[in-house]
Amino acid sequence: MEGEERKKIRLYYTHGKIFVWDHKDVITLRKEHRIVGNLVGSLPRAPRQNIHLGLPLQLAFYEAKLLVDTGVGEIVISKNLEKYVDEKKVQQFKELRQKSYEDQIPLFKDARRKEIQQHKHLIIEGKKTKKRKHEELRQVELQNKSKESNAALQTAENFESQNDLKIDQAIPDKIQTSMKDDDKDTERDSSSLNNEEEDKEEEEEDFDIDQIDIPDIKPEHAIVQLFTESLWNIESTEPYQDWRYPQTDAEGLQYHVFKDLWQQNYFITPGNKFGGDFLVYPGDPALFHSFYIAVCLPHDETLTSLEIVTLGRLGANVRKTVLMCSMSGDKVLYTSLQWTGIT
Amino acid sequence: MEEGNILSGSELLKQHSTVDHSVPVKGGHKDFDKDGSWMQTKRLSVFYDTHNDLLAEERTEKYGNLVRGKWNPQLKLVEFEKEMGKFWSNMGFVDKHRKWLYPEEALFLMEANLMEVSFNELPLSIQEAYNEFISDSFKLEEYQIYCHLRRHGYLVRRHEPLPTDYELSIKLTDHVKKSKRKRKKKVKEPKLENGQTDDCSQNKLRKTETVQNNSNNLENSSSDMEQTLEESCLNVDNCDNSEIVQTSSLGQNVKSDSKDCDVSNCSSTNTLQKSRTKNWNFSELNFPSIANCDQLVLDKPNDKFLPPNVTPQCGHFDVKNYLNQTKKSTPSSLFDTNLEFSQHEWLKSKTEIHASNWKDFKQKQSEIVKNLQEHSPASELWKGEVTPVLRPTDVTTTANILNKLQIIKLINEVDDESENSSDENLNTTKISFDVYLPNAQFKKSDPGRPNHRVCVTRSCDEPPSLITINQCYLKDKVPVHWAVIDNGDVAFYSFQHFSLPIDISKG
Repeated sequence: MEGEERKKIRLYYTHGKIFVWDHKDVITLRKEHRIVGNLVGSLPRAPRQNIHLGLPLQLAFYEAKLLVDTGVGEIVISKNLEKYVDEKKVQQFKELRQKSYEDQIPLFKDARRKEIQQHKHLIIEGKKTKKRKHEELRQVELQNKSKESNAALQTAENFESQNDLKIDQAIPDKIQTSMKDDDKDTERDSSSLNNEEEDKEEEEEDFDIDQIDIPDIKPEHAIVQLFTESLWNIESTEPYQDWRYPQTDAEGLQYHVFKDLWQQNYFITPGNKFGGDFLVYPGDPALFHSFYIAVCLPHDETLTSLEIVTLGRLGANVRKTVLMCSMSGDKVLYTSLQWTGIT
Repeated sequence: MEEGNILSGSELLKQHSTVDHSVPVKGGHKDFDKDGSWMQTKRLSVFYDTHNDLLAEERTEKYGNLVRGKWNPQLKLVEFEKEMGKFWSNMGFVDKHRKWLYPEEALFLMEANLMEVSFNELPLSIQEAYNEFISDSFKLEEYQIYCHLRRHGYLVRRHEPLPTDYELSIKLTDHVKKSKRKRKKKVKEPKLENGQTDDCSQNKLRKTETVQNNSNNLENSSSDMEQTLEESCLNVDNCDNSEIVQTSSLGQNVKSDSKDCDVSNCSSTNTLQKSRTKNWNFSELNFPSIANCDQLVLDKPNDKFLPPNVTPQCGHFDVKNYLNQTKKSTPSSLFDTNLEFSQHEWLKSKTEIHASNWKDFKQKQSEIVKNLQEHSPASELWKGEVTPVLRPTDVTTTANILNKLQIIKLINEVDDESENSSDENLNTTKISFDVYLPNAQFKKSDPGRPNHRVCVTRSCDEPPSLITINQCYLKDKVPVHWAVIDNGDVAFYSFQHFSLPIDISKG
């Protein structure tokens, strides 16, 4: 593209299939080369549905062959894990994780601060109530003390200390639950935090958020990336020379038909679901209806009229034109079949 | 390392906190042709943008939420490192010490952002897992079908071969289930010395042999014997990791209430089966002979060796009476009165065949049948080129007659082993998965009958043979589906079953 030297798109040969793992390549293939393929992996954001799938993109052999022939892509194959996994890579990965974790510590702290800021009024409110209750309690105690005799003093003290405890526990709980309601996901380590806050801000209701010592997040709370594409694709793959396609006459015919249609600027997808070889679209299949069903037939094959009727009926039912494609020398010949509706 | 797709700390956090789990709607309005309008171009670019954003999203997860496993390339299995999540109820299996996941299960969990699998401490990407986990024994097509069904929410297990008719008839299936359940409750008992075990079992066996002869002595030795029996049983259990559990304290419980008796009884048969091939002397075992005598005196067998609630026949046994009874029950009289018109005398008169072994017997019998055919009154009919379909000898049951008249055999009645093995299709299209509807009560130890079975084929393959599908379907009426995969596109098909009405009841 525009004279800029381009790396070939890597087509990974895996267990007899061809995959593309780089999302940029997937878009490039579709946008610039009209190669649609088939996404077969689970979508990261919603892995449990079949409507929208994610990487990898599986290519049909004719698509891969076309990309190789036009110089857009190259077939590569991955080595065995044993051959490339070494200490160095393990170390590299560990460092990557560690660095990512360390990067996240201040970010989590900031998020936490923001969260506290957001709920500051609730916390202050809580503190006030707590103080008030303390005050009330103390007054009750004083009254009790004055009323009761010395003999009863012992039991009263017991009672008081129990009550104290209960209230101490009750207040942080209250704050926590209110925070949880507001923002469940970002709520983290709040119990330890609240305790610390209480210790610090015993006397004054207002506090300075920046002064709060927020503990580091634990490693298991850090977000990690689960890699879809291998990190070691340069070292772990080698060009694959042994891929042989087309192997049979039928495959050869299919490939030639595919290539010929592709050269005429069509989008082509597999047509098995419609009973043909290809579906042919004028533009991207996401936005256009296909208008041909291409059926590859060897040039020398004799057809009975029933078979032709079958094909015509097939196209008529889905409002598409059936293309019977065959090779004559190097040229692809198309015969279209349309149901007239006259009985 | 390729830096391209690695997210920085802040990107990770942003991605994880803002991730939108909704999926863009597919389909919608489509045009028939390009018109070069601004609208079309705009729609196209919007589509590419959303498509790009969707694919560019990386998988992120809180580290603590991930289940971790280790890839074992030799076994082609994934071993758990960190304890399992909810999915353990329907995935994986346990061997002696470790918990394992099948590769397809691990790969699916990786794709579902639930698991991290490492090899030599290096966490694997999904791409590497694709390369590594898929093998000839578990094909990529199978994984894609597995994944497709799992994404739909079905519970999918590898296909368990159905129990054979024989296994069903001896109730082996029940036995396996029970033993699995009991193993959990197993009481650990100190192992006895090896020498002692041999001693015990021999002791016990000697006693078993003498049971029939000395019924008097038995009362005295029974408590002693029960003790040794129990000891040796327990010991065998410990060694073999077998299922029998004796919950009462060792050797002390000699009361024979019915429950206890049941346990010891079943354990004794168990041990006997294990050791009798070596130790049981058949020449010393007496089975009463009823030949050439009118009356027989039977000893009372030991209660220990009888099932509960069975009263053994003992004392005098009237052989003559017994023989008369069995003679009467043969329905020879039936032939004479009712079926005279259809079965001739020469057919019903059963000739005795004297043979020393089965081969001999079969040969002699076929000779007799042949003889009958040749010498039957209707044998004239078989002399020409055109012969009747039925021979008089075929007329035994209605089913047999219908069978002979049916020139095209029903495929579901083909259960001949030889015919199956010659079918090459059987190897390529095997049933891969048992599929269950999502169910919180699902237990993988006792999954029950699956709701569906699935076999996997590529679109260029032959469809599965009717035999494969029918054999499985006919056993327990679980529908077998046929998944066709074409470059990642999945479609399911199934054969519908129905039978035509039958007007003749088969006898």
